[in-house]
Amino acid sequence: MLRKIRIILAALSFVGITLLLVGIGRDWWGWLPKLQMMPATLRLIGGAALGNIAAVLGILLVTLLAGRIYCSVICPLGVFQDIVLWIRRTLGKVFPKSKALRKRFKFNRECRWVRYPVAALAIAGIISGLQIVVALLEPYSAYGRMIRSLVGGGPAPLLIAAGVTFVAVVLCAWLWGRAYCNTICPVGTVLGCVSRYQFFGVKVDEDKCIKCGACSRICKSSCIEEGTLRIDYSRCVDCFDCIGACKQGAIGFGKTSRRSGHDSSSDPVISTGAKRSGESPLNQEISRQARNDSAGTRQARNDKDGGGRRRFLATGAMLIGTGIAASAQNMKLDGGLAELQPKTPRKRIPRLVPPGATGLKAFYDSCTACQLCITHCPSGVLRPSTDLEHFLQPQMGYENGFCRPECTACSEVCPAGAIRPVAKDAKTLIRIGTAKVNPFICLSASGEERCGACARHCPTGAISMVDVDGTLRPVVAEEQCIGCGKCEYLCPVRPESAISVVGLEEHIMK
Amino acid sequence: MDRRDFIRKTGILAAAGAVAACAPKGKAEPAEEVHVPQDRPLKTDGRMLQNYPGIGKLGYGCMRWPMKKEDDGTEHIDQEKVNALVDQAIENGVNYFDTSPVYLRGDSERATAEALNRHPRSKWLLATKLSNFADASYENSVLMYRRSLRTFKTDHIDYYLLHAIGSAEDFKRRFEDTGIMDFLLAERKTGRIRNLGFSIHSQQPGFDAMMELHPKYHWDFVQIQMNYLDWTHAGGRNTNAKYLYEELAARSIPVVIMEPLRGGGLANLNNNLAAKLKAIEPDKSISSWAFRFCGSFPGVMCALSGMTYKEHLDDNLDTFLHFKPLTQEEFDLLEEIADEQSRFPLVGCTGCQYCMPCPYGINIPGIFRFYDKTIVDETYVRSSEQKDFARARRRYLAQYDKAVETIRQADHCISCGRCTSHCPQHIRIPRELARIDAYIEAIKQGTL
Repeated sequence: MLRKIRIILAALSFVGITLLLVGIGRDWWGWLPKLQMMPATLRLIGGAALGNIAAVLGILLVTLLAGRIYCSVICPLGVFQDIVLWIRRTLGKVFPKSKALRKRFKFNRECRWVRYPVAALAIAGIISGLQIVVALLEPYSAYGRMIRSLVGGGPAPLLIAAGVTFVAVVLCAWLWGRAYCNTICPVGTVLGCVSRYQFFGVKVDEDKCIKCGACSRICKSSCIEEGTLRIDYSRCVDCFDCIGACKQGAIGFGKTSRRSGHDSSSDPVISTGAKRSGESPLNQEISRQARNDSAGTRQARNDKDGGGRRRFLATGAMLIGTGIAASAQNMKLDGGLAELQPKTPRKRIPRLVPPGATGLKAFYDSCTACQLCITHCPSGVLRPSTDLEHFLQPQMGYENGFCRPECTACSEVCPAGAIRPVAKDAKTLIRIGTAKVNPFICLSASGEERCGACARHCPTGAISMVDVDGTLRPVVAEEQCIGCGKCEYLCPVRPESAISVVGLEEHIMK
Repeated sequence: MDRRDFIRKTGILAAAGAVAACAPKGKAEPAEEVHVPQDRPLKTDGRMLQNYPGIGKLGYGCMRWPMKKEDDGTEHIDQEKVNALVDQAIENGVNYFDTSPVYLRGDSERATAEALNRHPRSKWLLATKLSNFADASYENSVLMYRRSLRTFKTDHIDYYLLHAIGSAEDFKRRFEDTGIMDFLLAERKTGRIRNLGFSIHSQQPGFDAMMELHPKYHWDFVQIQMNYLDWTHAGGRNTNAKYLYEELAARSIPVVIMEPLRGGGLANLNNNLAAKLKAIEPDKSISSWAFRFCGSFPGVMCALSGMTYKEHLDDNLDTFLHFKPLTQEEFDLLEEIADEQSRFPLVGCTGCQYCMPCPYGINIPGIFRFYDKTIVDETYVRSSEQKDFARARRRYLAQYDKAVETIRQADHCISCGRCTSHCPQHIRIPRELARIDAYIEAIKQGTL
């Protein structure tokens, strides 16, 4: 029963978050990512709102009461691993002879010396502003990247990072169950510290137990020790699989028994594990593999970050209007569409980040690179960065659209508080950047054409056409320009606009 | 025009035409080329309506052949479909084919020639044009003319048109000053041009000037834009077709009709207006009314239709093979519908593509077609206060993006104005694009 409820809730939350990451249902389940631990915590650091204090406290409270329900229900990467395991188990039923598919789990000691350093690394990353560490380790963002690269594509570094994460997580889950959650995941470790002392949880009735070991073999967290019947609550994710697996009905949910003294050495599992160190070479081998794998994963990611600096220019020349070979003589042919070169992305220093970010540092300190804003940006101006410093965190560019005055989608979906809620009316009062004119390629300034498209379309009237040496040249009133990029988007000069926007380190309210 | 007036006029015109046709033309012309207009069009039963013997009243406009998209993104005329359409048309008595060297990015003549040359020369009448817009020099014009002959592998052009006269000055600049007019008259004398005429989109003075030149040049036919909307509601800077037709009929110059559907606009009427027509002829298409209108005039030699799909051809053949002239009541009804249709704030683009390609990549006809269609269909967004605004907005914008690629939409127009002079409907294109952009921007921002 408990297991069924868990599965139903997990399915709802998983489908909701996945749809949202695909870009569907912002109005209905846009609140789901706000329950994610890491973004909610980052939001706390950057200055909290009431709702997200409640979210963080609620998650911690639930964990203290009943253990890591979060990891089985709310975390999309956790549910994703359960799905991988379910597929393995189903295949195992179809091919009963395959040993690999029928493989059972086995109790494992906790790898504290991996868990805690990794968690410490993540916390150090948050504090020092080295967001790449957080972004790569954090489960919700990892899942967000996978979905984003599946549905929306993106620059190669994103695809590679997502691909490596996917392979690592699937492999890890396939071979060792929830090993990722219990060794790598910083959220899992932090929640594990709390759930070690959980009040209610799965427990074994020693009178009924016949020590068959079925529970231990089905436990994907490898946290039920066969002989002693002790459960490592720091790793149990409340999946309740063991309850059904026990033919004796010896496993149930209830108040956890607790020995006197709560220091870690008194933890039954750890102490037994420590006593029997060296007893299980296989277990050690497995944990070593897990370590190697995780180290290897990080290494692979770092390698390709370096390569990711390459520019992946949008090619794909438009061949719609190729003239037909009739131009031996001078005539204006009817129809067809002029070829348009795509605009090339340009480097913006300082970078552009959306209204609501308040500034570059505040933005990049809070963002977990979950890609949700990128998916929900209707104008396509947000895209992941590919440089190491802000790896996969979004930035803006106005080659294919501009930041529309009536749109506040990114500020609505951001779960981490990197983009704070912005009122629609206030949006055009926030200066996020400034437009700069390049008179050498400007059609009007160079006297090639009477254009003035930028001045005509500027929503704040910041651009005017001024007579300079007999030609009309667009000039920008910096204080009025909000950096929305409409001028750059509509500039007819290609592949590089004659007017373009660079960001402001700190956003300014007009 | 009341009923008696209508009958009287058409009757007089028919008589005038008959007289004129008997008069000597003063040039060597094979006997079968003398076309005598019949009296008022009668009912036909399974036979192509002919007002001038030997010329099917339904003509094929070769400006809108079906296109095929290749894998590499390029678009070409779908020759197989063209061949099939031409075969079916000729089989059913359509024999007037109207093209131009500039149509369809310069590919229309080639495709049309390929399809027509699969039939004996006697089965089809070739109408093509001197489209010397970009370079009106004598050499360039002669080159263009000879090229047409070569493309069609023929020694004569049945109907040769001075393409799209915009004004008296335009005619003088492109045809008289360059000396090409004398060349064409000489070609007519030799019989390589059987009939010499012009197509015109101009204000009234331009047309009048061309009529004053009739005694000098003896126009064998004139191609005008005529349909029940343009009859008395041409609007803007265009001349009412009623005036053009009556002037031509008074001189018994055979009339060729272009844009009988006004670029498809009269095939897609507003629902309320369409219902009025359906109430009378529930089984006939809306566009069939426009063709019956054109077919009912005795001075009309041929009504051109750019039939892209077989359905268009089938429908038009049905109209002209079983022709029923408009009754006076029906004529009045169409007048009434034109009156109401002209009240919609439409751009009035016929999709002729003369303005294209826009140097800045704007899809001008695509934008106008989308905009006009939403107005006629009443799927446009009325106001941000309307009940289901969010939904209407979403749908409208999605349809816009689907109809026109974002980088080719109205907001990208920089008002360079190169298109304006090419537009035969005299639409002030940059102004209309700015109007549409302002409307769409208001929808996007919710300030409509």
